[in-house]
Amino acid sequence: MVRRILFILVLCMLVVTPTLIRAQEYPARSITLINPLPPGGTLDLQGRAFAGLAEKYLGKPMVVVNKIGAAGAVGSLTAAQAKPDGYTLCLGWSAQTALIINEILEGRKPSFAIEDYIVLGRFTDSSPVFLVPYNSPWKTMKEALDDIKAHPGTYSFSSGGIQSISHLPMEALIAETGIKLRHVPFQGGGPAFTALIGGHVQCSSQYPGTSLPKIKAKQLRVLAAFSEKRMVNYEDVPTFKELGLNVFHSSWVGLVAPKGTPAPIVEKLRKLVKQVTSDPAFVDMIEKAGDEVDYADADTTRKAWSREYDRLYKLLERQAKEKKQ
Amino acid sequence: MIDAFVGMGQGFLIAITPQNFYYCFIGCLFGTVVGVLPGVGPLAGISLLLPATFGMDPVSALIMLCGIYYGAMYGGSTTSILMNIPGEAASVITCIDGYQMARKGRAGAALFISAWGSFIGGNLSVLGIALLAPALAGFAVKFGPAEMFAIMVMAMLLVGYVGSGSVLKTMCMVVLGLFLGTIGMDTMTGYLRMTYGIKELADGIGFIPVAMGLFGIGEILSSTQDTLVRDVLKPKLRELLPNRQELKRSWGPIGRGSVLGFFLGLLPGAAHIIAGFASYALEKKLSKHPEEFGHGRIEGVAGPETANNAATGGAMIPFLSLGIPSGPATAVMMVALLIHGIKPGPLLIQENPEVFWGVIASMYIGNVMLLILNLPLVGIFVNLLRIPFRLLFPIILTICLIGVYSVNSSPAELWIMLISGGVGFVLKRFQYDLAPLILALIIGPMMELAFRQSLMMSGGDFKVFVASPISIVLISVSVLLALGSVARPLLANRSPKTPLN
Repeated sequence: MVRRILFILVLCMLVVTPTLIRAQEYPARSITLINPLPPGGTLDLQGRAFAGLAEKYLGKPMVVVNKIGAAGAVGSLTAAQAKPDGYTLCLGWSAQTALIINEILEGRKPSFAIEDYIVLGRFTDSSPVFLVPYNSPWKTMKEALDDIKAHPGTYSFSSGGIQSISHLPMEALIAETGIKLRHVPFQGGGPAFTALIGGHVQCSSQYPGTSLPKIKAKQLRVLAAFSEKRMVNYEDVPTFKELGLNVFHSSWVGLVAPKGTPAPIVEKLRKLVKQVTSDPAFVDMIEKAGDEVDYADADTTRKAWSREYDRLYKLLERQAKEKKQ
Repeated sequence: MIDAFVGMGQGFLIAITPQNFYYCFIGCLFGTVVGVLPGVGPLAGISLLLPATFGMDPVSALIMLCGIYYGAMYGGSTTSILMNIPGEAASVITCIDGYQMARKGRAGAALFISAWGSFIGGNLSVLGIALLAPALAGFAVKFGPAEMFAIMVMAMLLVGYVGSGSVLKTMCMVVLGLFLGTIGMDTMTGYLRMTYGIKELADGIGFIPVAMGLFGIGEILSSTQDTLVRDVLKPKLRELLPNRQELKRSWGPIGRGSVLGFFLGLLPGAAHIIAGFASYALEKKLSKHPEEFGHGRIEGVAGPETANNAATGGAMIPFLSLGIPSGPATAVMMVALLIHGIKPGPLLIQENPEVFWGVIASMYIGNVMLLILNLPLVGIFVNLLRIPFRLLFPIILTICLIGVYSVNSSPAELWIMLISGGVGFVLKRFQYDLAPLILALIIGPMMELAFRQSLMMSGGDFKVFVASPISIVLISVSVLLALGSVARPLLANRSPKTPLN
């Protein structure tokens, strides 16, 4: 019996020791950062800025890999199933939550869950704005809502894809006001912008960073913000709350690791998120791109993620019911 | 116009500083390399070098990344011509006649003409940006889903001209391509179609593994049948250059390819690929010997290779002057600019003239560098054909596998490539043309999406497809094209019977 226990202990040591040694040396080689969305978007920009600076603190490069497909499900699943050794990390963001909820609502077992990841920290958390083409007859949000209500189902909005971070805010607005708008999904934020600027659709909700240059260039006009309070760079834009509507949406971007990643590595990576997000170079890059760094530690991020899950669950459940009717 | 010349002058001053000259060279060199390597396209190259640009000033950063972008179009034809493997997606069409030329010992001429065509196409399209960017910027946003659908219909009709064999066989390939294009997650609803529970298929069937499988792997499999017949090609040095007749025949395709490529480049999506095969279809239509296409006509190399390079110039217009990237490669370039606080858009020329004009001027310099870089390489590359096939083919196979895996790091795509290879081998045995299949696979999903988006916008009203002047013109041209191809054989049959008065 004793021999057997000893044998098992030795076996455990053999298994654990290399992990411990590796943890001390971590990282010994380059780290892969999975971005489940295509290149060029907000997620990509932040991921690449983060990965570029991470090398400074880790001593080994961090390489962004766009593992795209199925609105981000493919990359997220790959990360969830990756070997939890700290060499495969993933960007976490709001639309992942929607992907999970949708699978549940469609009666499937979700292929990955929030619990599959260890949260390492948040880079940014931003709310979208409600945009119309510059020459749109709608000058205020009230005018827009009145017109849409008077002509139900006539107008349409563009998004970067079904259930994407530019689709969900509009659903929140539709749920609150009961308006009828047609949804035209595109493959990514770029084409969604093109359709809006060209006047092929009448409105869209997009993120402040990518929208700002187009607003300044008088291609687009902003009517309202989906934020809690007024946003930097958008001081003149009223929030939906101010307009008396209970419409809120925000989308976060952060870093996650597969469940089972050894604790020392997790600690190191959590520290890394803090270090990089407070690096002036990172802050500068994000601000130049029109966003704001809003670091939150792992615990806060994890809790916010749960709250977001509850909020989106209600929204998407309602949407699914409506579809069935 | 005066502004453009003053701007160009400033641009050249910026682009010829030693620092920018150096980055331009690095970009072009790197671009040639990723272009030559099958599967690895400009996107992979740009993504790799992006972190290196964080510390650079924005002009240098964009000059380098642009170099990769258009440099890849130069390199892409190399493996297409030598080994029948598209070096990157836009060179699929070059395989058809380029490889046949190589088998006839004209590999050097084909490589030379594709470098020369790329150079002319690249330069003319840069001139196009400098003169027309402000005027054409607004044009790109006029293309909404309905207009895109009209373009795609036209593209589909042109696919028919690409095949060299029987019309029925070409149609079979088109239908097969369209079918393969429906596999995967539906963009409009998120439903999975034809995946039969296979998770890897949710992404759909990518055209890169299919193209490399059908052409590259298929070629290797075919070669196993006739090892004895096949001789190692021994190109002689004096045969490296195109002869006078070949040069003469190339001028027209290069000129037309430049214009066609530039304007198609303005459109979002797979502009390079469409530009290449639209040029091929055009040349075949204009040629007095359309039956020789597919058997090594130099026009079939000169036109498409020029057009895909000219398209890179066209693609820069919506990107720089509207802030709308036309494809993934320009999207990553936009990230590089945004990180530096430069916002591509209508205000770029006023707010950051140094970026706009500096980059455009550097594209001239880059094109000259690429020509100087690529012409001596022709000699080296052609010598690869001296390697015996039994050694060369395992190398090609390895390059194909690594190339495809490096794009999305997906094992499923390796299987797709190998299966396509088997299918390609069989189809080739029965003399089916493979290019229409790939083109249908690329265009089909784009056409379907545009069709459904248009109907979504109109609430199911089909009038949306003829609602704008652009769509009316495009749809009319398509109808004429379709009628023309049906009517011509009928008329041709009747005419001899008509008595002369």
